[in-house]
Amino acid sequence: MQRLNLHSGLISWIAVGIILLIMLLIGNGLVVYLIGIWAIYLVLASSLNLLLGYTGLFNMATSIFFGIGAYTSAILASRFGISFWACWLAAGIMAAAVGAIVGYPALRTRGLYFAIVTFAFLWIGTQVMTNWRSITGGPNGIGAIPNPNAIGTITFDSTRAKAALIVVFALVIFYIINRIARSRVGRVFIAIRENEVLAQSGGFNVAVYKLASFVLASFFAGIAGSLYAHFITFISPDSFGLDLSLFILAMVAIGGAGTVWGPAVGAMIFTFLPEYIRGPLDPYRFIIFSLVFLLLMIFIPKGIVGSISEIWAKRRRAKVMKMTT
Amino acid sequence: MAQVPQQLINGIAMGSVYILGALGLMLIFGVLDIPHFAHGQVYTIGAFSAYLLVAQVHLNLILAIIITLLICGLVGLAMERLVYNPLRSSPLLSVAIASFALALLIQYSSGTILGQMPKMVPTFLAGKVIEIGAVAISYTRILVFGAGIVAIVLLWLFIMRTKLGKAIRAMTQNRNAAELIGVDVSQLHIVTFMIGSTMAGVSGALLGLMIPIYPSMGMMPTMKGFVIITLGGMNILGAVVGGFILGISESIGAGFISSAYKDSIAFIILLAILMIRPTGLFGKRI
Repeated sequence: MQRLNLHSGLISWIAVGIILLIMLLIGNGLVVYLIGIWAIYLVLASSLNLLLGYTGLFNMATSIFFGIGAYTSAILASRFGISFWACWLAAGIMAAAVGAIVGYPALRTRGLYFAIVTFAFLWIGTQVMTNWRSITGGPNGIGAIPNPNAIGTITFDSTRAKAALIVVFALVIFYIINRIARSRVGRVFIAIRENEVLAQSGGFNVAVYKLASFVLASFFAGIAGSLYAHFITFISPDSFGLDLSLFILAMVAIGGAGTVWGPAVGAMIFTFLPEYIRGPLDPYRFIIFSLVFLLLMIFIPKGIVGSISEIWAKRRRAKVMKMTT
Repeated sequence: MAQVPQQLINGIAMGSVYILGALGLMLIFGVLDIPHFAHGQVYTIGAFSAYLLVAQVHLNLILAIIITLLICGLVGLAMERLVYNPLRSSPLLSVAIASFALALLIQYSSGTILGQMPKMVPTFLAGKVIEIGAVAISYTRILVFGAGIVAIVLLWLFIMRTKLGKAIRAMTQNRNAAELIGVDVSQLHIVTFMIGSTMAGVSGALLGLMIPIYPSMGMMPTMKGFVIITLGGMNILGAVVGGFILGISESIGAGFISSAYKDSIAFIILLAILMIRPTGLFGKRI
């Protein structure tokens, strides 16, 4: 059984890789751009999934950690000429450090109060980005961020090459997050989500595990920020506000919180759907989009992947029942 | 220092608007346990309905506010029946995210229909002030404060003196026990939502008298409402104290520290208090 799961997992990974490769090679400019954006959303959504789906932490500040990463990377690269290959790591570490400083006091609160505290941090963060002009460039942001530096003869000066680079980054991070989620640590995270007191009495230091998941998620969100800054080459506070945090929450929820492929599906819907509701419906596309979002949440609260795997589990159970009787 | 009394007055008027919004949220979140993140969008609906009725239909302001109350009550009813009722047995997280979806839907719809330009609700009181020494108090602020106090007292009387209010208090204490002794939970959900939304609507309409209104104005009041509830710890008196603390500190902070960081003040106070007392200032439910 274990073997079978491993195989089907590997097959879906390979399938996703091949589809992305083909789309990157033959897609037009818009498709390539959207794949790059999707890959960045994938990192953000799976880092939030680690919190929301596994540890059960309702983090509303994902977009700020994303922003911290983006600003760190943009400032280091454009003002100090530091290579992208150092910047992305610095961006992750910076976001993780802020995550530790914010998470330590914030994690004293639970449930919805944690959501409100992280919202407070989100708000203060956007105000700082807008008003601390000497560092962040204020509302005008930072432009002309250099492309990622070449490795040997491989250059990253075209959107296509950058999108491919981001997809590689995103898939590696996606894989790492899912490995963490399936490891012993991941099972402790789930135990915390299901029953914090029980996890604590099981001998796990809940506070440390919660902080660890928060810092990890911030680290990955920071790297996503760096990728974004070098992909778009322009950043401003508008890109890191409440809307983005809500969209990432929605991606995780629509895809299915606590599932492996949920964030990928959710990010896919959020990247491509608004772009393709065009034509006469164009002025209403955000209304249509939020209506679809609301209806999905009412009718399938467990998300797309969550509901599908539930149906599969039911069918498998039915089959086993049939075989035993 | 001459401006302190002036800012105190402005802060008190803003505080009474905040309290109204927060009390509605407190009913819905505190009594029904629903994380209603679309509460602030009802506020937006209230503000825009008052604006349309006064500026476009040319109704009398008082009449417009009364019609706005009815509209917002119906919006509350619709939200409860169509969104929250189907999700009653779902986990808190799904409900919270559905409420965000609802908030986005209302925000985008009002932006598309009404445009992004900020608007003011026109009043016959505009520009009229009472001057006491160096302090100028506008009639609008007096009206807002007065209306706020009346609404708070009415809510208090409803919760403390009526049978339905008693049922609400019973449900807050013990949901199952309340159901066992014959409290109609479904009806109570509807009533609580309608009253809570009415409070949000009146709060939005009053806000439109003082400051410009715009489609995305709703998110901030929801979050400030949660801050006030956290400060006050789920009781009416606590919310009143919390609301005035927030209104006054924002208004004074904007004058003395920096107006750019005005909206952050609420959250800095919240973080400071939660760090010292994770259960809130009063730390007791209704």
